[in-house]
Parts: sequence; structure tokens; C-alpha cells
Amino acid sequence: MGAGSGGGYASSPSSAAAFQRNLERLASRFPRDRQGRFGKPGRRPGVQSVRTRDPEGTAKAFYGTLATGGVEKPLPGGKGWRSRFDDGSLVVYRPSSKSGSPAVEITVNGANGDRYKIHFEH
Amino acid sequence: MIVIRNMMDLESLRRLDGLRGATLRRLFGVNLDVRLMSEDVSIETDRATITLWGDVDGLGDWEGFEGQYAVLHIDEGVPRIYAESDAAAHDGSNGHGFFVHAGDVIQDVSIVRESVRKVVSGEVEWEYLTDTAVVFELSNGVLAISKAALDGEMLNVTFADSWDELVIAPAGAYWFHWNVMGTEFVRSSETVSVSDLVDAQGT
Repeated sequence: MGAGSGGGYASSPSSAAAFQRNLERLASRFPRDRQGRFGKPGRRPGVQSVRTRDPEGTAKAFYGTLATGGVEKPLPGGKGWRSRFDDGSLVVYRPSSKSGSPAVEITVNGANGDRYKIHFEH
Repeated sequence: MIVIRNMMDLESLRRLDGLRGATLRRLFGVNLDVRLMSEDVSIETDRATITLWGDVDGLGDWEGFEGQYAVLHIDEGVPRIYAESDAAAHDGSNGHGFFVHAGDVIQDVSIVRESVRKVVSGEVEWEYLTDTAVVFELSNGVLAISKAALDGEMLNVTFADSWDELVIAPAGAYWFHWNVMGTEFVRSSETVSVSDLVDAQGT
């Protein structure tokens, strides 16, 4: 994908801080709900939804911003990409989920940790 | 109550069991970095090389909607599991890696088997059983390879000087971040010997 420092053996010491900056950068373009999650609550707990005219392009750009500064690697089976940060926070991009829409999974580590998936849909 | 089992098959258990008595040479992986996290971890011994790798599967969407559950695979050698990194896979089998406890003998292999129960208003709605870690007892320590999450591909590698000192980080999951009144997810785990499982299933 080329969004992060992929191919290296370690992310920079400040990559966890970079992840926080990435979250803040996205917050100006994608509204968060009351739990601080991007998008609106989806059909089940733990799943959010972002409506867009271009799900593929929006999901890719969202991941690209969020992945910056992490260690980026491909997922097994060609299922997508992920970027991992110093504190264990993780962003996973799946261009095609079972429902057909692209999805980004976010794991925020730390005291206020969270874990959820965002489907980008028409 | 629904009970879902997502566990290793007999063939995988036999591969693990076959490493008892082998000498550890190194760990490596296409995605394995200094944080000892990776979707694939290969264990090279004087007897064989096996690769543990994480995958996700819907398992028939048993929760009633599109689900995603971590599956732990145990393959012989170094399988080509990455669509775009065959070259990196070659690098992994080319002498690089981690040599912690190299020369130690693998004395025993165990599995950590976890149960998650969804409890709604005091009633158990379902129980999910899955293998979350493989623990190798070495002549001078312990090596564990565990799922970082119950719904993702990532694996953690953990070393310790002894069983007593081994701390495996609990696998995360969306379940544990749900915020639904009256619903809770209760987890527990047990450690079982691979050889006992092989004996029980192989006969």
C-alpha cells in the first residue's frame, strides 16, 4: 500500500504518537459517535458504518491516513493490509469483506482501548 | 445453548507433537519483526520446520450476522501464504530470524484452550471454544505463540524462563468492547497437553 514504513523491521519510537495524530486528522473529515468511534453504529455491536459515494476509494484513503507511521505488512491470503504501531495499536484494511463492502478494523491499545470495524458502504 | 468449536485438527496436533525432542534452531516469519508480532511464525528445528499462521473465517456466521473469527493453522515447512511477498518468504528461510533459546530441546508442547460465553440476562446464549496459544516447553525456558485477537490474524511470540513466569497477553475481540446492557462475555481457559489430545483423538 505504501502508507506506512512497510518493509522495515521496526516502526519509529514515536509511531504510537503518529497513530494518535492520524486519528485526530481523520476526525476532521469523518464524524465520530458518542463512543468516539468513526462512522455511525452499524447492524451489530462492534461494527460501524460510513456511507459514501465511493466506498473503495474512501476506505483506501481512510486506511492510508490511519496507517501512516506504522509497520505495514500484507495479510495472509491476499486479504488486505495492516499497519501496526509501537503500542500494539493496529489498523487492518480489507478491500472486500464478505458483505462485499471494504472494511477497516481499528484496535486502539492503552487505557482507553477500543476495537471495532468500519464498513464503507453506498 | 449453542456451542461452537474452533480448534486444531488432529493433523495439526500431530505436527506439534512431532516436535517433542527436537532441538530449536530459530524462529522466523515473513511478517515477524522485533516486536515479536506477526501473522506467521515459523519454527525451525533439527527435525522439521513448521509454520503457525493466523487467518480469519466466518465459521458459518453462527452469531447470526457477518462474523470474523481467528483460525490458527499449523503447516509443514514455510507455506506461501502471502500473495505479494514470495521474495520475503524466501528471505525468511534464508538464515535470518530470532535465535532466542536456540539449541534448547523442545520437551513438551501444550495448547491453551479458551472458552468465551455470551451471557444475556443471566442466561448463557452461546459458548465459543477455541485454541488461543501453543506453548513449547524448552530445556531452558518456555516459548508461546498466541493469538493477539480472537477475531484477527495477528500472533504474539512470548518467551519466559519458566512456566511460572510465562504471561500470555489475553486475546482481544470485538466482544469485549461491546457495550450492551445486560450482556456480558465471560472467558476462561485451560492448558492441555498436545500428546494427550493426540492420544485421545488418534485412537
